[in-house]
Amino acid sequence: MKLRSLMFTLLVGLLFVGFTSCDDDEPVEENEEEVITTMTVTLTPVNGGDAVTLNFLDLDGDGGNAPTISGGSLAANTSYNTTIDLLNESEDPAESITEEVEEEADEHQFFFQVTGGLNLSFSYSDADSDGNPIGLETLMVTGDASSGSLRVTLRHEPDKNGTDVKIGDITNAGGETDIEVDYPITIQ
Amino acid sequence: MFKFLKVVVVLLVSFKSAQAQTGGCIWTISGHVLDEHDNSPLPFATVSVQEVNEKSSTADEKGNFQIIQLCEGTYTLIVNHLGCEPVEKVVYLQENITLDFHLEHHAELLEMVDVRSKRLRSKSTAAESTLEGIELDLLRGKTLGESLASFSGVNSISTGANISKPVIHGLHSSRVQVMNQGIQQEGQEWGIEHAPEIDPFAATEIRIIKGVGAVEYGTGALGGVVLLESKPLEKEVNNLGELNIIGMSNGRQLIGSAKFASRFTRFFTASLQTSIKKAGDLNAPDYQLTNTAAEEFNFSTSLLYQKNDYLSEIYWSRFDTEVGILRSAHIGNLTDLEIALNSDEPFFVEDFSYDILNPKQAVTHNLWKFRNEWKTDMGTWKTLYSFQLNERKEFDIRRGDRDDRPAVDLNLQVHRGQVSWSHQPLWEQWVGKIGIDTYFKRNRNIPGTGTRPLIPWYNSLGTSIFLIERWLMNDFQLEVGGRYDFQYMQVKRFNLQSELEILDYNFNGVTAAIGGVYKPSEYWSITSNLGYAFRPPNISELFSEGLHHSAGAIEEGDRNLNPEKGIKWITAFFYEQAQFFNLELDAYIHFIEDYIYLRPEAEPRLTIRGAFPVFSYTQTNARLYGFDFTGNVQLVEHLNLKLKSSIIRARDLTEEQPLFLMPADRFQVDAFYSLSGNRRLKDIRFGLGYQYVAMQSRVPEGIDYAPSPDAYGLFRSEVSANLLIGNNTLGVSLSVNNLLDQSYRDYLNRLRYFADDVGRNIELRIKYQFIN
Repeated sequence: MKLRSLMFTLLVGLLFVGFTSCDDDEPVEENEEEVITTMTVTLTPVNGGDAVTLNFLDLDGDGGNAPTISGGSLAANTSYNTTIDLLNESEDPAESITEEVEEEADEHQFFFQVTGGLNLSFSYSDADSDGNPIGLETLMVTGDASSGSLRVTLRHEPDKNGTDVKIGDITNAGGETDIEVDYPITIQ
Repeated sequence: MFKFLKVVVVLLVSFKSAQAQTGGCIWTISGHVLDEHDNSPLPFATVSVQEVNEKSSTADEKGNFQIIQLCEGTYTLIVNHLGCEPVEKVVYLQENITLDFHLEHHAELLEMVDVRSKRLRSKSTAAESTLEGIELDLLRGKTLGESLASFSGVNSISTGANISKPVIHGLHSSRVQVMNQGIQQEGQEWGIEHAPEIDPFAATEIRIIKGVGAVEYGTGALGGVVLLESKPLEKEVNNLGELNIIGMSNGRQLIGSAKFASRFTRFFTASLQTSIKKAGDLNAPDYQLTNTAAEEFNFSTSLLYQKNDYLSEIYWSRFDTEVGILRSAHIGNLTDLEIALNSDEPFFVEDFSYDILNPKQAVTHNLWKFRNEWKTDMGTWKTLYSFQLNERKEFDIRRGDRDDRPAVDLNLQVHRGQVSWSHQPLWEQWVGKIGIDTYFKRNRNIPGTGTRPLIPWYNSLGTSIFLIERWLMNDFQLEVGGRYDFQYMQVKRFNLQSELEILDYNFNGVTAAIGGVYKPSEYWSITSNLGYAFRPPNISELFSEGLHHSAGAIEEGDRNLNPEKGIKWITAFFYEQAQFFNLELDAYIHFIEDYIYLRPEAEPRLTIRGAFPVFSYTQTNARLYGFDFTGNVQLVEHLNLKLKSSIIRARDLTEEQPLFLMPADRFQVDAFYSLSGNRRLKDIRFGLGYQYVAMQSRVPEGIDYAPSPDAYGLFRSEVSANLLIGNNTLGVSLSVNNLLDQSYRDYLNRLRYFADDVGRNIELRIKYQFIN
């Protein structure tokens, strides 16, 4: 019995030594793949003129440095062809997230909400394979001079058939939010 | 609590008879059968002579026995007593002899003995309770967390109905040590949404210890200990088989389990156990809880060798589960949470399905163990080696074709070795145990998730030494224990600048406990225990960073946290008068210095998904106190009323506010009408119960997104019976939980923000057991 106990203790000891000594591996750094570092909203006047760009930039992703958000000023009573471009610039070269959204167009939809009395309305200019809007391309129409902010929301797996969802009402959209950014806007 | 498998036979008196040797069969063996601990007589013990079948004697009320008319020769005497390890003794008879036998009572077997209240129980002083028999049977098929919540003073904290973990006196996760088959369960237990990876079917008995300083179990035992054990075959049993089939209406669940144990070649016992579960989406009274299906497949097997004073066992168990998490609980930001809180129904409600889609968890846990035990003249030696492999994958709702790639992929391996020695009773009153315990832990993130790891790479090595001594007197028992722990941990991680950081941690500290059991009269006993314990911060508290998807919050670890240090005093009063009148009242107070919790930060963090509240792990001083009550009274013959209640108050002494996520007050009353039945149909029982859970009004400010859910009361009913078929038993029970199909939400369910709890559940259990 004594011998057996000794042997066993020895065995356990050896296992420990064995496992600790050959265990100097290193962690592998993981690329955060679903990061969206950049959202650029480009508003081009339908009747010609300089485009206005709204920008959200957070190159180090969530955490670290705070993001920078730059708004813009729009002309009153003007129509703008509007496009959204999404990038992951933490990769080199930068990865287009717009393409990912396009590939899963039926699972995504952008919504636009104004706050602070901003005179701005929108309508969708694009459609997924089911004929439902996506929102990567829209027509924005300004009214009289005003200021406030424009909230751009991207929903993943919304209910596109919900009441008024197709015309851009987020209330019954559901799903979960992938993007929610407020851009300060003035209309003059 | 100790188990002294070693049975000590002390030959107290052996004297020569004055009787002249005449030859022939005229000799007598007489003596006493006594309890090893306090020398009280063991009435009705049987003493038999192996060589002569018809020679046996039953001890009288004073433990006296006598076997007469034996011939000269060598005999093997076997002493049996209900609830005791049998004792064998070989004697050579050539005169009349007197022998005293001392039998060791097993505390867990003692539960079955009606005469138990007449003696001081050999039990832990730290408020220990056991769940077994029919109480456990009626919980078969439920998760471990749910099963444990039937102890008074224990709640379960859950993430939906499929993921739950025990809360003992307000503490859970890293603060509660789960011991599975004698081994510290090692999973990713820091997470509230990480349930213990244990098949409750593998256990024949579940115990909890509510006191701290249960020094055998290590630094995880700051808040208490849960022990799952499976009893070996009893001596007289050669084969044991058990088959369970359970059907549940809610989620259309089917659960099966089988167990078989067999003794062969006298020395070996082999056993095999398996369980399988298939459950679909559960439903709340008003809607389907989409994506709450679950699957489980578990098995365990062991081979036990037992010869004389030596025992050796190899054991392997595997737990494998896949659990869906309520689809509507996966949210992107606070706006989504707000919408969820303000809507009556979850957003994703679909038809019933058995499909498990994202978000989901897939977890496997393997445990291998090898243990030895041998009894020598010096005492009992035990060695235990175990290896655990825990693999956890969590799948999220993701963009692109990443749904099949886990967002969390953790691999944890733990080796553990323990050697202990229980010494022989000194002066027949001191018993004790000394042990050394060492582990090596290795945690890795499997690459390829495409997400920043929740917790980093780490290796950890720990050693501890412990000593427990017990002094057993007639009506008093004193217990003293101490433990020293040393833990080393190395962490490797990439910071936000992609630089590799290597950090080293050393933690060491002492755990100590002193306790006593006093039995002033036949029915009363009092146990009291004062314990001091410490717990090093866990890996998540040190290093977690980033967004918690179901919580809509950013959690930040603090790498400079200190260990928590707690001192708890728990006193339990027992009154036990067989089945007529029993009560237990536990009162406790627990101070924790450097209690680790999540504190909300003033500044939210802006991300592309909007602004998120930030919570940082920080430390404070906390005080928890409360009462647990269990009472059982026989109103009239056959009709018993059982009352249960637990109340806890927990306060942050620095911030002067209540602690977050503490169990609400609860009261439970059950009425049972029992009939012993006849020889065929036995243990017939009807039950009706009501559980009331109050609203948790003691909550800290600024932490929770929603007010505490309202109080609720649920009814349940059951009927059960056993049918005897020869040596075999067929047990059938039918129970209904949430009898009135009420809608409610529980404060400790993390999905209460998104959906109601489960509705009515009709459960049918069939158990077939055969023994020979």
